Amino acid sequence: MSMRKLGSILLLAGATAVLATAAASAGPLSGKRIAGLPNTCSKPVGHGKYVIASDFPLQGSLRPLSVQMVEAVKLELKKMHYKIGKYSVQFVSCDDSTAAKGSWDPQTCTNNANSYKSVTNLLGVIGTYNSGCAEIIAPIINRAPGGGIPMVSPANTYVGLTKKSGVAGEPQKYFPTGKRNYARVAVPDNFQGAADALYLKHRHIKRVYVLNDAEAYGLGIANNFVRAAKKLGLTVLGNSKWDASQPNYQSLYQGIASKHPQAIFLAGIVSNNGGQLIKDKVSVLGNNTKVLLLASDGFNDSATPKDAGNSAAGMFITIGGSDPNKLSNPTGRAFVKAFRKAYHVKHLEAYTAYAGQALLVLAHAINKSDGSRLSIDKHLFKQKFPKGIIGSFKIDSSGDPSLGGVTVDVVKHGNIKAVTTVNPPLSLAKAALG
Amino acid sequence: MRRPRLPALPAATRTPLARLLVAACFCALLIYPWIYSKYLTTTLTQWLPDTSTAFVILAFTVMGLGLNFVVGYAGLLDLGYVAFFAAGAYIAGFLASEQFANAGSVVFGGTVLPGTPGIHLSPWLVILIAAIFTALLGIVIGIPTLRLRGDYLAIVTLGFGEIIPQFVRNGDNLGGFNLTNGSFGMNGIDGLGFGNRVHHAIHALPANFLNELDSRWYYWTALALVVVTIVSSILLRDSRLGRAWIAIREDEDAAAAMGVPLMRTKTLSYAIGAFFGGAAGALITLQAGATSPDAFSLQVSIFVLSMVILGGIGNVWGVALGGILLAYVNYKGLFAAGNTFNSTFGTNVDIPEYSYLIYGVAIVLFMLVRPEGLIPSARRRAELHEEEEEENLVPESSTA
Amino acid sequence: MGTSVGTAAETSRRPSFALVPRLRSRAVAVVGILLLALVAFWLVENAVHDIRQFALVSLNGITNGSIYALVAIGYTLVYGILELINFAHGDVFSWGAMITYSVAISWLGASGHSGIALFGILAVGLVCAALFCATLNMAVERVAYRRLRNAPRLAPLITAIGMSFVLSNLIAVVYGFNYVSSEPLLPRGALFTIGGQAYGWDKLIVLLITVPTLVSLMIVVKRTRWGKAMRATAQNRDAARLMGIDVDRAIAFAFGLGGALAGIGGFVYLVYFTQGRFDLGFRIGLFAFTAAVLGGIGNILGAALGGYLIGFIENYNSGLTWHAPGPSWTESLVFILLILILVFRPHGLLGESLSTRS
Repeated sequence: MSMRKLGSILLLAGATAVLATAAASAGPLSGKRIAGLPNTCSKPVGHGKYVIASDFPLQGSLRPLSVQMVEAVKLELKKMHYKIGKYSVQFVSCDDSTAAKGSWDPQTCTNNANSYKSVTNLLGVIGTYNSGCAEIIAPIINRAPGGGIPMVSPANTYVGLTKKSGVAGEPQKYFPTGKRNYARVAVPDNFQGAADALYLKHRHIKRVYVLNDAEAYGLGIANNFVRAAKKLGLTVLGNSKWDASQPNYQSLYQGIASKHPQAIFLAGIVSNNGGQLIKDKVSVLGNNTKVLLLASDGFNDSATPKDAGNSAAGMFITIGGSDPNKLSNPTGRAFVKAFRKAYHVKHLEAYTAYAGQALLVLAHAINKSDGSRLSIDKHLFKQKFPKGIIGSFKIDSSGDPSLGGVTVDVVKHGNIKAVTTVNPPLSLAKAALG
Repeated sequence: MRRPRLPALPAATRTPLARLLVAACFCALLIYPWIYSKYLTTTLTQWLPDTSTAFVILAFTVMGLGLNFVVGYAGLLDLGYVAFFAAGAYIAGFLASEQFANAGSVVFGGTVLPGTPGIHLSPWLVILIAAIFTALLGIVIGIPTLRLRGDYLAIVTLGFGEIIPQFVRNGDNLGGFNLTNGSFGMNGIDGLGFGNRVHHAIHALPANFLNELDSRWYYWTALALVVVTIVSSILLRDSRLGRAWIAIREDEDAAAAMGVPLMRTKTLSYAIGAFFGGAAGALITLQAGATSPDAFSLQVSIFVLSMVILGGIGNVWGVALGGILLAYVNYKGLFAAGNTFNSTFGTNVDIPEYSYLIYGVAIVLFMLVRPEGLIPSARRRAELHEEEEEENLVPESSTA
Repeated sequence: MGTSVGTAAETSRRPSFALVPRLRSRAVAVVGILLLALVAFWLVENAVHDIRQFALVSLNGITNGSIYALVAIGYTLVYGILELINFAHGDVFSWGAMITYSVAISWLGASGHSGIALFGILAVGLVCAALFCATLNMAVERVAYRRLRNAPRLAPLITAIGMSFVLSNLIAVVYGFNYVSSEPLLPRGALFTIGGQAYGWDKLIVLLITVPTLVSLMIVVKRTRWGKAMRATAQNRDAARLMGIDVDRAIAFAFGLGGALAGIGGFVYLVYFTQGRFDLGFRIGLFAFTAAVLGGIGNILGAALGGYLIGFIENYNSGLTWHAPGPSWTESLVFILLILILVFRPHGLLGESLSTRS
């Protein structure tokens, strides 16, 4: 027998052995998982007949943020002893990201949603983080048998999910049955875009150039910002896309430099080569005090100061809502204290408190309902939370919270620290919608 | 290299045993949704895909079979098959959603209520139109490029595979017109179904597949498409056109000298491959209810190409099996193996984190062990065999 | 198949030598010249519009193009000898960048040094990256391609794709999925300024590394015994063997040489752009391979030319202000250019028609 043949046989035998071991060991230890749920879900915690799932990107640079959101939901459920009214629930945490992309993945969102649809005892979904993923999941689970699966997002900020935003068919197209099943507690992007423009005006900026990452989130907030900025009388020198896979952006900034901007607004997420984008901004246009650099909440990520290094120093990053570490209302303070104690952490990520709140919104609707999905869906809207974690607020008839404050952070010594809060007037937020 | 004349080879399906095997496989696939729900409580669900996942697996298998017309039969390396997937997906989006709400309400057999804004054609019609349009696109792409030879063609197809998603991504502002919604993608696309009118006439046929059994209906639709693709493959392979493809694959110059019209034959293979790619793209989109430019990366082209080559290039059964296996590994197998691994050894290895690594190792090992694929076509097997014999005379002779 | 349809079918019976139908060649030439004139007009108009901007962007194009050129040559060497699109090559390049990061930045702490010390550290990084990538590329050939030299033509293509997954995800296993990043390494002081914008030393250093590398590569391939053996193997493997050339070693040499160039490319990328990630090689590899085809695959000078051409397209498209489609169209422009060039010159800019190896 030739060496080649021997080699192939050995390889084949090895591969078979690995597979056989895997198959043989499938036996007794399985079965704990809840049937029908996506492959990407964890094992359940708690016990009971019903299920609540969370859906976040658990891989990539957003992992710390997502993990805290999951923990916040668990914390609130634990406080309720896994009982919402008369329903005892289990909780699973599902993942909508892939490691290879390091961020959310459309096919994974689709698969997750289709699986949710097949689980009859699923009471609701807390998620998603990315609006793009919610755009996929919401319409699929809206068509679930027995009524749309209730979904409450702590972090989706894209306007069109709940209100008209200029794209044809929004928001009805996310709810093909005509009955809405989606609410959120995050501050929509039009508030953030308006606050960003307002903040630049406060800093006496007159000429601004906008760059977006060409993804749904970045493009959306860029458009909101441009409208608000124009309304405030700022000169928008341009709104162009950056190509995430380009090795560098020096030529791009040299083209922008000839327009003499006083500020650059980055609308997008940092994992789209944001580090390089910031580095090249500084190397071509000068440091962030010379030409101000403002970025949307996709840059509110520990990767920003890490990837951009010293170039990030002094850049501003906004984020919808208030800094959870600085919540001043009693419920909020209690939540932060309990969270720090339960998980031994000091710093709460941006959406941790919102995740706890999202669960409470869902629980409140479940409590008031008759137990059917359609009834829970109906009660998601027009709820009042005078003593919510994130403050006193209402959920309006389209599923948006009545809070519109936006936090401005600055990068200092490699950390992202809150500077101030901007409350854009409602009229400006409406103007940002277009 | 001069080859001895190959004997006429019987197709695999012509032996009774093979026929029986194919029939048994088909029956098993047909009743799979019941098998799945019956074994729901056992450990098998860890390893078996649910019907929605099985749907995706079958739909990708259709793409593999479609690409087999181009790569397997005509021997044209296509690295941009995802372009056809994208075209099918967006045509489905245009014809079955509220994308063109400005055009008023056109509900023709669609699965929505009358009066819904936008164009809503019957989903079956949508799949057909998407397939035909994609085939035309295949011709349009093919005419300027199919003159190129070998790997020059491959790189040009790769180019189209990159251009078309980028066009879709930037298609929200084509001279001010929003065709594709750009990065936002299209959402709220209608599901499959027979439409209200048909449903009222024949109650057994649901107006839409939104009830709890819907994933079964989707699954069966995909299975039907697989069957149609396999039957077309066999019929075309054994036709005059199929022989022309194989002649081109084996020796383009000789085929041309024998009077095979190269351009037309190649373009047809491209069009037919595109047809099934478009159909599968439309089907996947109608099931997902959404599509976005992110879904069309080079990885998809490579994934589909791997199905063809791993399965056994040019052999429809091999490609079908390769497609099902590879898609299974991608959408279920790796997760299942990972979960099992973790629960067996009490570890917490994040398998998706290593999925591409495992996938890469697996296809390298597989190709090293079985370069001719799972079920090689009889013709290729003969060729390989012949080369091995020659190899004994002159070690490492030049590649064919 | 019935009757043939006009010119297309007729001329296609004239295989390989006249791929563009002779009857249409004049019309094709006219269209080609028109397109060329259009591009030339656009460039001239932009240059007139803002000559400083044009000059700056052109300089960026040369810098980025050098990196593409280095990687493109690796593709062309391997293709010339094996007719294999070595998909894993882009990931070998990524490894070059990551090894540079480990050696020069993590271990030797390059960002804390300057002057001679920095130069020394970077030299060590460069040598390590080149050696590592040469070895890696040769190992890939040994493991994934050599066994398949007589297999169906597409089998090694798939193992190449598999190796690409393996190599890029091994980076992820070692370095994680996020970027590695460092502060600027090369001195960025202005060499001269154009319209207030500096042309930094770092850009010159990139050219000072890449251009001599390219020139010495050409000398190696043209003049040395190994280079000659490699070229002979590429031309006719059997004849080369009969002439006493160790074909396996000649092929390994081609992989080693290509790997070393990719390693140097990765080094330059990391020290110039100062960041990298596991999927770095995907886009660079795609463009570099396109560059190799643009220039005429198998032709080393052509690959370098193609690399610079793509560097220019990328930077003109994002930096010029007069009617540029913008960075979101860069990939499309590159591939449209590729398709046009192949339609007009089916064997690339400098390529000769392939011999009829079936």
